[in-house]
Amino acid sequence: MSGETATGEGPTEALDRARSLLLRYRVPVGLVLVVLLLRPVISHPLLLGYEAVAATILIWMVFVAAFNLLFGYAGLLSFGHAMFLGFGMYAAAIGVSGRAGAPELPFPVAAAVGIAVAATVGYLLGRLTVEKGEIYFAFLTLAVAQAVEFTANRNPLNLTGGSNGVTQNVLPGFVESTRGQLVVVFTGLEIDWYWFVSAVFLVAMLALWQIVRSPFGRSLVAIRENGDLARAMGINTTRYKVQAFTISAAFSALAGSVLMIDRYGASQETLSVITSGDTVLMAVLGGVRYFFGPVAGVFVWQFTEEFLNEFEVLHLGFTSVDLSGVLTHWQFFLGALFVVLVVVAPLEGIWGYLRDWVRDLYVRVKGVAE
Amino acid sequence: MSGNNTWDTVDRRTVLRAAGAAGIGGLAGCLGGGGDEGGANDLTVGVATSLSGPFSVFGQAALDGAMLAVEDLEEELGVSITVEDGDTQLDPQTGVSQLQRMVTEAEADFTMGAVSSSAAQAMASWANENEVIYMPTGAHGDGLTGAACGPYSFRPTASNSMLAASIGAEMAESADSWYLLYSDYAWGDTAQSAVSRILEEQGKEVVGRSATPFPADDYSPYLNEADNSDADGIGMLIAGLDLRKASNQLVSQGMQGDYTLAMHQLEDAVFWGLDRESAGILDSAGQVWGPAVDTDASVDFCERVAESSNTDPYVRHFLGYLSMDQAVRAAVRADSTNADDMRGALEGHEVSSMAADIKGGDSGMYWREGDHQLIQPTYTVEAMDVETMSEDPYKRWFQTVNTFDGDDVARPVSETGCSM
Amino acid sequence: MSTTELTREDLATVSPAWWAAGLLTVVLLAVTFAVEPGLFIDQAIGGLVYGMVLVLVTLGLSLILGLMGIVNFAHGAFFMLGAYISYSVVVTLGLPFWAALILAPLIVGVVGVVLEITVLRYLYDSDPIVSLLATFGLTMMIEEVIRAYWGTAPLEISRPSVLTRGTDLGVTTVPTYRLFLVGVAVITIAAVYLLISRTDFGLTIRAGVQDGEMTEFVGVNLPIRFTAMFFLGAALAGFAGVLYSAETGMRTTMGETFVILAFVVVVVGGIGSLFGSVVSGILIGVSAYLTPVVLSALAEVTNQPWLALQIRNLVPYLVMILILLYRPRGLFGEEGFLE
Repeated sequence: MSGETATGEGPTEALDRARSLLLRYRVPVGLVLVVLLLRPVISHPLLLGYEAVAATILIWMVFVAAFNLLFGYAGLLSFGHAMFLGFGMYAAAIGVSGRAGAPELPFPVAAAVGIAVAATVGYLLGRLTVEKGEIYFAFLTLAVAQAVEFTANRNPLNLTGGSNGVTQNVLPGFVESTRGQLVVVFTGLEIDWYWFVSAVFLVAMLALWQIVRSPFGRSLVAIRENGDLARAMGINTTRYKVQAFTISAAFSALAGSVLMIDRYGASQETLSVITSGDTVLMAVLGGVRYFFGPVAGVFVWQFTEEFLNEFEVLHLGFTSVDLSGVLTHWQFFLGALFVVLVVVAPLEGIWGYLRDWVRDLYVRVKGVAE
Repeated sequence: MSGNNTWDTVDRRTVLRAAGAAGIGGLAGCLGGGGDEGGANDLTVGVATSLSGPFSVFGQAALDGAMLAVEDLEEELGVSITVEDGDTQLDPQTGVSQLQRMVTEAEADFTMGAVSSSAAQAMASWANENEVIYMPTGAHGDGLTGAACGPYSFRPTASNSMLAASIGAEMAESADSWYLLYSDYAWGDTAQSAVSRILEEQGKEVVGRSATPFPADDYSPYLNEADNSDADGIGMLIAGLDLRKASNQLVSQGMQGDYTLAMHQLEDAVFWGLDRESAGILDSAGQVWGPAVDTDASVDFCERVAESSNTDPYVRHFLGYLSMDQAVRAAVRADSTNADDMRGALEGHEVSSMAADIKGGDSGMYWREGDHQLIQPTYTVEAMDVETMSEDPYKRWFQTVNTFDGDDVARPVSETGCSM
Repeated sequence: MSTTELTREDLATVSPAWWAAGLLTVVLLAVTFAVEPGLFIDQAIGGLVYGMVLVLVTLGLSLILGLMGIVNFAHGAFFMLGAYISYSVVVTLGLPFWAALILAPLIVGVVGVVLEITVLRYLYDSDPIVSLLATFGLTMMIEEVIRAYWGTAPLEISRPSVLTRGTDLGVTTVPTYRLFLVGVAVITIAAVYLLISRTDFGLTIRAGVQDGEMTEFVGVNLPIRFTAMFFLGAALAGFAGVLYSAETGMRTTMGETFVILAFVVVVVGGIGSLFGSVVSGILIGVSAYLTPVVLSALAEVTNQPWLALQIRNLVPYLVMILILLYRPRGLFGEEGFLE
């Protein structure tokens, strides 16, 4: 390889420059690829044959990536992240519907309120909890999330609708839905809901990417790796962790506000500990060390759920096997995969293995080529 | 899910996937889209209901009943009906996702299902927004034909307030002050206000009420509250099989003899888990339908259910049957599956099919235009003597005491809070 | 596992804030008793009984976490598995309830052993978070097995008929079955306490966690003892599952509900303290029953009806938030453990 560059041939140089550009911007390029490929791939009849899930998956990717800013980068495992998703969801639903005398707000304003509430709660909760030791942090966030769910269930001031959630008049004016197809109407233009979500996805994910590769993000990693050392170097670890918590909460709420439209309202189930648990599972499954870990985790999880749940008969041409009885229990297999990943290398996840595998392959191919 | 049915339904999704996997493909364009105006010979019906979790017994029974209706309708009307089923669990959001999947992917023409009123309410508001006909098969919460009513949702079962009105007189007669325990969600909440209203109209007092989480394990703190409230009667407005649990705990706290117990909506299946002597624990109970109805059509229907379903016949089988019957007939009458055409065929329609015969009562049933409530007779029931309870070919433990005209127990549209 | 006892020095170091909180509690309880004596007694006794049930459910978790440092999220799944196995023993095999009470914990214990050997053994040296995640995955698997084998509809068994009625305690009637549970809980707690503090078995495990090499060096077969310990923890969860579900029936969500409650009890009591778990279980049981009564009495006295909040199910979490914020190691936890 080194011999080649030394000769300074034109085409190789150009190739190298292209490659380094690609390497440098691999995250934005990867995100665009996710957006472009996700829907065609999953709506292929061989796979799901059902495209409405695609938008939901993108929103979940934003949410789990926001969660992972806290867990993967700052090393804080929140077991109550559903509440932040919920703040976004409920604020958007209550604001848009203007129920129970709440002021009727345009969607962006309502979403902003939700994001502000989530950030505030994240900040205050962070102040109280980030230095408590990781297990205690996990249980404190869980407890607070339980309290939030309980409060939503009590329907304070008739705002949250109790166990009904908020499901009436929740679509903002610029979204139209007919027989299950969501369309965004924007100055006379009709845009498919998927592309709207894609835009939000790209903006949010690029922002998160900027955060993790900024000095701030690198300090977080330093704190996670060795808190004492970071403190000795003069980093105010508490402040960094609190900021990470606040940012993570805000992005979660952003995902929640878009999810509200996608799922036609806010539901109390979203606030439950099951949502928080799934979030953790998806992040770890994908690989918490990597920016694309949550993306991979959400895809594998949601895809497995939709695909295996409905998969019934496997046709092999010469014979057919009825797998419906076994595959509806996809959680068992996903759980098993999860346990194996955690025991072997808890932070790598699917993405980590995929990377190593691709790298090995690359090295081998190059070796053969030379 | 189709694997669990006694009937051999192959849904389109399976066919498609199988075809795709076998490399044939290209079937997608052949099947008609939803909401067409032209004809109603090939119908796809989405049934989204609780097939897992605390209400799964109810949801499965409703699905079984609906499949019986499919058999009858295909034979009588010469239509072909594909049922696309899906599990809502207890969750409004899952319910909405199921409806969306059925309508967009399986191209369901119209939809029905749900046990929990909270799920049904979310599903109804989705259906109304998306111009899809939806029948909340087994949801009794008043909101569905009240504040949350809409142009395309039609409720085939009786509302909480109709059932509460049915037992109102009995309750007022048997005790002067009441304590209400109610499951803390849409159904329990509206049941509680309907029962309170009925009691207060008759000059009786509700001295206290407790919202109990649903589902719950431990009813004893709430029972303690009722026990210390100086009430003479307790309204046990507790959903699903939890009523059985709460009753067991009430007995083991020694409270049974001290109170009159009432529940506006008795479902036979809830009591089959108790021993026969305890089946009569409720002093007044209302009912939409049950094996207690002894018309010929009802007995026939019960026997068919006993043969084909895993559970003995009770109200949920009938509600599934009724929903399928009414929705399919509306499409055939309108000769269209367009939501507005079907709406026109349902509003004001007087039910004259087999479903009306099974339901019994003399007053008939019709779809009220103002709130899309199916006005129908209601019953009060009591446990039979232990010796006369029958087990074969199906359990029949209760008998009707009174039958009420639907128009007498339903509130006028103006009081429901529904505006369409 | 320490069995901390309150000493005079401990009391002397209690801060004025805690004294004030204690005093306020006493005043509130007195007010409540004055306003609603009957309900107060009913709920206090009911809460005490419920608290003992909580302790029983928590015991296995408390042991595994306190002695082995494993954050066993699968505790709830073991609990639920015990309940469902008892259904099969009683309904499918037609054996009496008492047989289920012995068989189900044994089977769950064996499942625990299999998981310890195949999975958890590799995690003793890792961060507690890793064991939490791994057992979270195991929970998913066990729950799915339960759904696949027993279905998702609620199930129930009939209890021995002696226990279906109530026992009149003079001031209130308590379900006889719950009194039976209290008795079983007391015996189980005593047995576990003796096992870990008075026998060689408990001491070596504790030593092994602190210094595995040295303990093995002196001739103790640690892996086998760790496996045995995990068997005990899983079997206790299964045992609690059988006892609890006989009253309430089996539901596929019971595991998840109770693992969270059990963690709350352990964390409030202090990780590593058996005594702490007992105190905190009772504390949480009683406060869950009494808080709504206190609030409604307060609402009546102050004439502020909005105070009568129905917050029963929130109480365990409120207790945990308060305790953890002011005393992160829990009531009787060792300082620095997992902090």
